[in-house]
Amino acid sequence: MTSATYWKFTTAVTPAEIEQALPKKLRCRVLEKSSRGLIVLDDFHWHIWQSGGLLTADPQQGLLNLSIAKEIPTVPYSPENRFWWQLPSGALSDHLRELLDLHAFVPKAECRLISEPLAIINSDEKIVTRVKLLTLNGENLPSSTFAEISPLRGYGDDYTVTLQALSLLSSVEVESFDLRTLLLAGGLHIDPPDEKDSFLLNPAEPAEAAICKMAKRMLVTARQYEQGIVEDIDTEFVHQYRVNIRKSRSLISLFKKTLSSERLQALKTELKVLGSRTNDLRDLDVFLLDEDYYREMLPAELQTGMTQVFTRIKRRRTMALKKVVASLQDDAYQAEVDHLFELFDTEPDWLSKQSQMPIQQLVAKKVLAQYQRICANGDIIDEQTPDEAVHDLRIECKKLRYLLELFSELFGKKKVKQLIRHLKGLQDNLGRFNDFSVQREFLSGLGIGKTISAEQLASINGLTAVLFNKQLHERSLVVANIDKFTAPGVRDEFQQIFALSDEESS
Amino acid sequence: MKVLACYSIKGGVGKTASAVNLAYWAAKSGYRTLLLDLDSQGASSFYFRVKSPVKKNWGKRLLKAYGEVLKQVKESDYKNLDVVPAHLSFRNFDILLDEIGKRKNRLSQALKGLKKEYDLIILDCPPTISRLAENIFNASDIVLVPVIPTTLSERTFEQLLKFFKQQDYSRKKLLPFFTMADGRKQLHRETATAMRKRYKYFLKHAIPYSTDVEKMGKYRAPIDIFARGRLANKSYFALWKEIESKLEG
Repeated sequence: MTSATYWKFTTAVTPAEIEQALPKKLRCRVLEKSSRGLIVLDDFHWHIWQSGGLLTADPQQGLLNLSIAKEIPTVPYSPENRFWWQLPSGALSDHLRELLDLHAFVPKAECRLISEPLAIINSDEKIVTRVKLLTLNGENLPSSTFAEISPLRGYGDDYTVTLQALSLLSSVEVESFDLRTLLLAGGLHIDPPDEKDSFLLNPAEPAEAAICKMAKRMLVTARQYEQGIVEDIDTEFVHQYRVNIRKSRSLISLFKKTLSSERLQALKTELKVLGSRTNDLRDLDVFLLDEDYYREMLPAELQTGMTQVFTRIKRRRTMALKKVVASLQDDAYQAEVDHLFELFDTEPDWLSKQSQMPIQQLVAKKVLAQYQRICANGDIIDEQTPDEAVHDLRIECKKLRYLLELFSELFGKKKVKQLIRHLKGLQDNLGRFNDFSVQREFLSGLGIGKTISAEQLASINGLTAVLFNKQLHERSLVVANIDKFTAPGVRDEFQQIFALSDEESS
Repeated sequence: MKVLACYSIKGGVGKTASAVNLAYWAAKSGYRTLLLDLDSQGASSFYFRVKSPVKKNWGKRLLKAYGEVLKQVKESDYKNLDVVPAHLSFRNFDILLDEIGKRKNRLSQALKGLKKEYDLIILDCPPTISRLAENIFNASDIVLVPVIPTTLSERTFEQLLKFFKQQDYSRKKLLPFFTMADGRKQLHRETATAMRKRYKYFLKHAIPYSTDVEKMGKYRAPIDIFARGRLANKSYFALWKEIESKLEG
């Protein structure tokens, strides 16, 4: 028994045209026609699509459907719901949580899917072949028609005749189709932001050129998030915008000796200004995202005060966003960005020895030096060392992390990943230690002002106390984590990867 | 896989209409069903618009191997329902059976191989008590016997019972039910009451006399397709549900 075959028509096709193409003894009957609206949803990165899934909404029925390898139940759809946590708990929101995390799912394309099951019948009016036409019409998508043609047992000859007739209607056989293929063939454009983790570096490339090229790429990447910030789609746009600018800035400062002092100064200042515009907004976002976490730390009687605090923060966030949006749309901003690109694109000055060093050699040297610095600084930290030293160590670790991540393509990504894993243990510990202190500082700022109610103050103080205890606990783990990261085994690994032979370094 | 025969010694009692509608409801209930039209007149094939195969002597082949049966299978317009259409050569089943040996389990052997593909085989049988009938009784799990509640039909049912006893077939395979029952006729009412009293194993649901059954020839389809809300359709559905419970019980 042959199974169904699938066909794509290069031009739209109607049942009447199919009947015309069939031999006289066969006719084509429309069984029923149905159509439904379809909204394709995904986040900015197309995370759902990239994972092989498809999130669609049926606006008439008000249902949200996630197609993945296994079947999961649909949930009610409302355009206001854009995050997994706004959906009823269950399999669908669990999967979206995994795929999207903090990203919002938004409409990517709207179309109508028209389904027309047809019967090819003989002179006895017996169905001899079944044809299912699927047509996709979309505002931004050109119309396209697909057909599933199923033979009926015992009617092989009629099936062959039907296929021959359809081949006259400029159709091509395709392997199979599902909604994803249909959408792609219908012209759905999958356009995730450019976030390649490779810079296509040449190990021998002179450092100054390589650094400028990389820093520029990061600024280009950052700018892809501007529109999402303006539309306030989700908090990840501001976050990724800042991450890319911060990386660009760190790169410049890590390799400052490769640049002329004028260029260095200008880049440092302008990148700092660019990043600092979103500082307030990001701080408020972080606090708001942690609402559940904060609330869990407080007893019931302090929740009222906390609600007041969050209402206030939400208001402040609205203001902060307005400011950021205005600044991004400002001519001055555009001029700043243009100037930055100019600075990146200027011909290298080749003023220092480092500017001409092959990038691989320079990075290897820097990584080893940075690791040594962490070992040395870590060595003097014990339980009594002041917090400043711990914070400084965190910053040094972050620099090492950037060096490893940004240049892993020059040293074997797999090996470098292993080192990053070692580093991550220490970084997570230091990161949490720092987070608690930032959170406490943020909260203490909230407690200042004439209009602060007693309830709010009580909640803020309660929270500060809990955070302080957590920070103490985190501090108690630091020494052990430093020891782990500076252990002989890890040192050897750094040496093996970054101590280049003379041949390599020449 | 279960085999269900629609059988009566007498013609014109609603065998084919029953085979067609029961096959339709079985398929609709999810049973992968094959309707095998053994009656050379081919009425059930006609209702499903499938044509007889052109090959000669296919009756002989049918009794020889299930592979031959499979080659003749036609998919109906309804999900889960296939049909093996009748053939003129089926007139000569008895001669054929003589030719290929007098065994009573030829048909049973030929059907065995179908169990991978089907959950239920429904045989639409010709009105004859012969070697073919014996093959049918051997192959079937249930022999459905449509009975019109009239004196003549009662007599033929008794003949069948006698035959079963003589040949030592299990009486339990027989499931009689009333067809073309006309409640307006006194004879029908009285015969039905008397027979139900005597034969407790009559199925509870009966098929009433109805023009909708006759219209099947016009529409060439099961009743559900053209007279969904009508009594005849509901009766066949109820009868199917009762048979289904026996099949599974």
